[in-house]
Amino acid sequence: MVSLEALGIGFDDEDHLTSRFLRPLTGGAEAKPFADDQRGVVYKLFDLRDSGALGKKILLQFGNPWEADVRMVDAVLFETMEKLAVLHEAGAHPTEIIGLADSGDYLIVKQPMAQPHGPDLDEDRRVAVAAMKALPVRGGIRGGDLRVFWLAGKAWLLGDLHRGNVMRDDDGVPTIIDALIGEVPPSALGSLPALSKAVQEAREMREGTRTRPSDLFDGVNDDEL
Amino acid sequence: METTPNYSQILSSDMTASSVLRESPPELERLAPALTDNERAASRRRLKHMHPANRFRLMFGQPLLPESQQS
Repeated sequence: MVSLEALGIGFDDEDHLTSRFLRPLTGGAEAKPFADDQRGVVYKLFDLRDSGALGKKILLQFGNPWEADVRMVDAVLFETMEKLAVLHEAGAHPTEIIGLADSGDYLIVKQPMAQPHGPDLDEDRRVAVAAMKALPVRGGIRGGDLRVFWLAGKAWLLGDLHRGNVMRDDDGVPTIIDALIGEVPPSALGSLPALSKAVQEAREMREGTRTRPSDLFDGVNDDEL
Repeated sequence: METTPNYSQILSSDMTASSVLRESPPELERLAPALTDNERAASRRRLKHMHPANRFRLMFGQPLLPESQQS
């Protein structure tokens, strides 16, 4: 249990989160961050909602058997803690789960402070995603730029890699500071060949039996083009 | 009062694939729109009168207790 007050965080008269010591940063869908410039860390406060939701996750919604839409839905505490652990283990920006606020309304985590991404956002995103051994899904998915990675015996969907979630660490290495994830439903593997292929290759990348993803044009004879 | 999030309500919404597609953001835009500080404050106002024990129950998906039973 953590006291928000001990962290120097409180509320103003209009119930906005404030701090006497920490610098508020722009919040996202899930959490409000505060920077501790002196110690070079960022605290993120994931707030409980009155629905019981805490955080977000992604899932696939099938309109027909051969094509799925990416959806963002509410998550619960366990799922958000799992997400933070999975992203950390997979090679995203390090995240430490500090604990729950003793007031029962926040999950508090801490990350090393990161720097803005470089001038070529796409290249930084590519490098950061490669560090997680995540691969793109080339087909069968609508509504979001989706990747998959393998960790702890499971395939995970990875999305929401917008510019605010791609930064650089202290060494100038591109890193994913946050993302949305979700479990790959086993039933989807049978109906979405591109997803199935990406999952298989992501698993091989994680297990070290593959060093690079297959090329989009592997198996294609240039002379036949 | 049952507080466990109802997954079937979340997952099997009545949205059709076409409506989902219309609402889907362009590639690499945010999947989840950021909340404003005012939206966060409004959410807090709805929770702050709840007993802390009930907030923990809500967080862990447990049924809430009547406020009179809270010590």
